[in-house]
Amino acid sequence: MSHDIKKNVANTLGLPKDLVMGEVNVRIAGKSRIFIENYRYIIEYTESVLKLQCRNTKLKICGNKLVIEYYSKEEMLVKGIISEISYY
Amino acid sequence: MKEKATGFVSGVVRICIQGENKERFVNLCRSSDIYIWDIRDSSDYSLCVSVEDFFRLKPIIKKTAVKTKIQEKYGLPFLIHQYRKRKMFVAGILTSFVIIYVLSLFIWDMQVDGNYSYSDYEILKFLQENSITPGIKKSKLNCDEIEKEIRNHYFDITWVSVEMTGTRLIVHIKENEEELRKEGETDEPKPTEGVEYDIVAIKDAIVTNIITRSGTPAVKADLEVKAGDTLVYGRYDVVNDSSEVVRTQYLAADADIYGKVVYQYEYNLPLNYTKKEYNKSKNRFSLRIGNKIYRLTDNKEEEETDIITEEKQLSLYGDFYLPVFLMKSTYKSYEEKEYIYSEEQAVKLCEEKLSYFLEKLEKNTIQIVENNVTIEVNNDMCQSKGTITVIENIGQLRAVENEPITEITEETGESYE
Repeated sequence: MSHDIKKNVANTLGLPKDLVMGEVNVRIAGKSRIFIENYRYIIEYTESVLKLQCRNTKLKICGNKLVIEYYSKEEMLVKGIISEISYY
Repeated sequence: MKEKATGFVSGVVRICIQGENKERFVNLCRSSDIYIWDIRDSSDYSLCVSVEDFFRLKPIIKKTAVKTKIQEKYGLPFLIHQYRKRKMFVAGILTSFVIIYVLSLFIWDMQVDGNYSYSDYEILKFLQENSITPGIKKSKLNCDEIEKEIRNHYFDITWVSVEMTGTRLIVHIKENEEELRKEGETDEPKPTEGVEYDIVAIKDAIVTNIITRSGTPAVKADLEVKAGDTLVYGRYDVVNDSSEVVRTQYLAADADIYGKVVYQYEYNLPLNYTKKEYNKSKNRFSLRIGNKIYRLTDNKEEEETDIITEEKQLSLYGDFYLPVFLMKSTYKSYEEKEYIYSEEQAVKLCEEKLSYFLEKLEKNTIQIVENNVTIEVNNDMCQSKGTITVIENIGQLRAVENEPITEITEETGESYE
């Protein structure tokens, strides 16, 4: 219910949806870099799998030699050889 | 990101984490606003954190029960700690920069450029009298004032420009060229109007040629004159129709009088002579700062050595001269050996000397008519002796008081006294 209200308000006022809804923002640059914004915390991190908890969903990144370049409150950057990105 | 630059100043630590709740550790760092980066999972789980934040990690470590180990340290605080026993080294570097900066505030080299009739030494001495010497502070120099002073003091110098580059002071000068040319032409004083100037012989000679432009000639060709004899009178007699002297006009005589002059030439060359024979030459170096000389290499002074010293002022680059001079002394030890000229050598040397003498005469536009010099070798001497007859200008202007005239006219050939 509140989810719909928010959506309508955002639509009429012209506000960016992802900001209002609190959705995770994933930017993929090629095969090697992923910028991630608006997440809550890391569930699991190994060299081959990175699992993130976002507001409503979870994000899983599979690959090889994954390295977290930086990890701060606002955003994080994952570098490495990425093979799979999925939501679950 | 920003960590590269600021990280170096504040220090960065890379730590290894072992434990069960590594991800929780990372999440807690994030929530307590600790910035971490470069999280890897290669051989160990490692991440980078700034030194400041490293000390705030303690509660998080406790909560998550991980073991941390410091893998690497980068940054200025660690560098200073590493070289804490090398403080003097750094202090030395800083002092050298300060010294070089302070030295650059002074003038260490002064040069003069473009001077023709004034020697470098003269102009530099004049500057010295106005207390402008090497070692003066640059801020005390006022280039415009110096230019004005030089221009006022020397009338010949028409253009002065004082340039300060690096630690050098260069004085550019342009002299009045017309004055120079006039000086080279005549050395005689300018005659004043209305006074009688005669032309007088300066040497004993036999007159060969006389060309009178103004004045009354007193000699003819083939006449023998002695030094001091009047050759041309600086007066002009105005004669009326009956050949009577009406009045005399005094003026400066102007004539070219050439005469034969005989020079005695004698030159004796002893056959025995000593010559310096150089054995070895060694270079020795020393530094000169002000008036103190510091030897860099061993200077052994032996007897009978010629010492030639060259001095060079050191400069850091281009115009940045320092008050330090490098002296290079070449020590040449010699032995004096006695030699004897052979006859041919002696004769040749005498001939060379004679021809040099003749060349010098000819340079002064003197014509050589006869050369009676003989070169003979006696027991232990080579003698060159004889007479050289030349034709040269023998007249010179001289102011004179009135005297009775002795005139020789070509027509009548009579002389009036």
